[in-house]
Amino acid sequence: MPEAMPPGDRRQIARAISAVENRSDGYQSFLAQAYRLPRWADVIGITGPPGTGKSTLMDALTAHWAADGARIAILAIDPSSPYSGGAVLGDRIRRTRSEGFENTYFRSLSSRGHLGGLTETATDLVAVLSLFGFQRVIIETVGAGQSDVEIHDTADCTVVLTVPGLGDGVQASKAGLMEIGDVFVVNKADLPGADDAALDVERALAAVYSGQPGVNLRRDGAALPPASRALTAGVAALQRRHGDPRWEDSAWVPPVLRLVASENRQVPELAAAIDAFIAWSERSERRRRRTRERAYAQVVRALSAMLLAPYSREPGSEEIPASVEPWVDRIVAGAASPLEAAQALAKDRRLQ
Amino acid sequence: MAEATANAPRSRRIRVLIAKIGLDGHDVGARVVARGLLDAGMEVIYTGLRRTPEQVVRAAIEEDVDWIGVSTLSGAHMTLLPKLRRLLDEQGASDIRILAGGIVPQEDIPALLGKGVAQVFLSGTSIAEIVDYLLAQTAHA
Repeated sequence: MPEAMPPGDRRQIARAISAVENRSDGYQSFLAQAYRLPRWADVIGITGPPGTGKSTLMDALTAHWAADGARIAILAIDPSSPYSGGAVLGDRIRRTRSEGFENTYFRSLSSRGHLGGLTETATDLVAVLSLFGFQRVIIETVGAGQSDVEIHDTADCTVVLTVPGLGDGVQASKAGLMEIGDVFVVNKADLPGADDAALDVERALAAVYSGQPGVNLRRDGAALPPASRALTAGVAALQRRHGDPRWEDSAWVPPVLRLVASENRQVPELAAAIDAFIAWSERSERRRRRTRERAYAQVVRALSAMLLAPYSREPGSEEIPASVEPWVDRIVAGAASPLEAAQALAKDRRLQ
Repeated sequence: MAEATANAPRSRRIRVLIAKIGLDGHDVGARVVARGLLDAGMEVIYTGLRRTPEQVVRAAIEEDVDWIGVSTLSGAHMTLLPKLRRLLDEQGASDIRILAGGIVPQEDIPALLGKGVAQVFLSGTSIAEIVDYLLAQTAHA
C-alpha cells in the first residue's frame, strides 16, 4: 500500500488536478496510486440552492479546521455554459477568512457539462487530494436544484443549506435535495423567518426519523424484531443511511442548525456536528457502505462514459455525431422512435 | 477500442484568472471581460476586489491558470504589474503570463512589456480582439 505523499508544493497539486480533470499527463498512474490508498480524506459536501451562502460557509469551516493545523482542500464547483462550455468561477471571492492558512488549498472547478451538482471527476479529485496528504476535502456543489443530489454518495458528510423565505413547509417535505442531508443548516439565521424555516425542516425530518438530533443509542425495551418491520421504500433507504434506534445499537438523526456564516456564529457547533456524524458513520459501518456505493457509482459512470463516447459531443458543439445523425433525421421526420434508434445503435456496436 | 476512446485526452480549456489588485474598486470592465471569455469557451476565475499581488499569485498557482488578466484603473500599474511578474517567477510559475487591461498611459506600455507583461489592452478594446489574442498565444488551445 502506498503512503500519502509528503506535502507537495501547490504547483504540483494544481497540475495533478488539471491532469485528472483533462485526462492528460499520466493521470491514470495518479488514479491507480490514489485508489489504492488505505484511507482517504474525510469528504464534506456543502450543497443548497444558489445564494444560500455555501461559499461563505465553506470559507468559515475551512478557517475553523485549518486553525488546528489540519490540511484542508476545497473544491468549489460552478456551472459551465451549455452554449460555449466556458465558465465563470466566482467562489474564490468569498475566500477571505481561510486564505491566510498555508495548510489549505482552494480549487475552482467548472461542472464541464456534467449534471447532478458536481463535476464528472469529483471523486477522482478527492482521491488525488488524499494522495497529497489532505485530511479533509470540502466540496461545494453548484447552486443546487431539487434534484442535484449526486453529492450524497460522494461526501462522507453532506450538509444541506437553506435560508429563510425560500418557501413554506411543503418545500421542506419534498423529495430530492431535502432528503440527502446528514446535517441541515438554516443560514442567514439573523433574517426574519429563520425559526419558521428551521421548524419546517425539523417537521419534515420528524416524519421519517425518530429520536433526538445527533447520535441516538438503542432505546431500552423498544427493540422490534426486524421481521416485523413494515417500512416504505423511502424510509427504509433513509434508515440504511442513518439507522433506527428501535432495533440498532445506535442511529443518527440529522440536526438542524441555525447559523450566520458571515459572522462565524455557530460555525464551531456545525464543525462539531459534522465530526460527530463522521465518527458515528465510522462506528456504525455506514461510512464503509457509502464508500461502496461511491465505488459502484464510479464504475457505472466510467463505464457509461466509455460506452457513450462514440455518440457524445463536446459541450458547445452543435454537431450531431455521424452514427446518430440518420436516426435523428428519421425521428424528426416521424419515421422512428428514439428507443428504436438506441436499440439499433446498440446492436450495430455489438457487431463491431 | 472502447478503452482507448474513453481515455483519449479531452480538450483542455484555457483558464484565466481575472484579478483586481490594490485600491481599485471598480470591476465592471473586469466582469465584462470575464463574461466575454466565458462565451469563448474559457474557464474564468474571478478573484474579487482589492487583492494583494501575493494573493493573486497564490490563486493563479492553485487554479493552474494559463493567464492572469489584471484590470487596472487606479494608476498603480507600474508598481503592481512588475511585482506580480517577479512573484510568479520566484514561485516557479514563469509560464503563467500576464495581460493588463483598463487605463494605462500609452507611454507606460513599452516599459510594462519590458517587465514581463505579455500584452496591454486599453479600454475600448473589443472582447473579440482579446479572445483572438488568447487563442493564438495559448499553446495547447
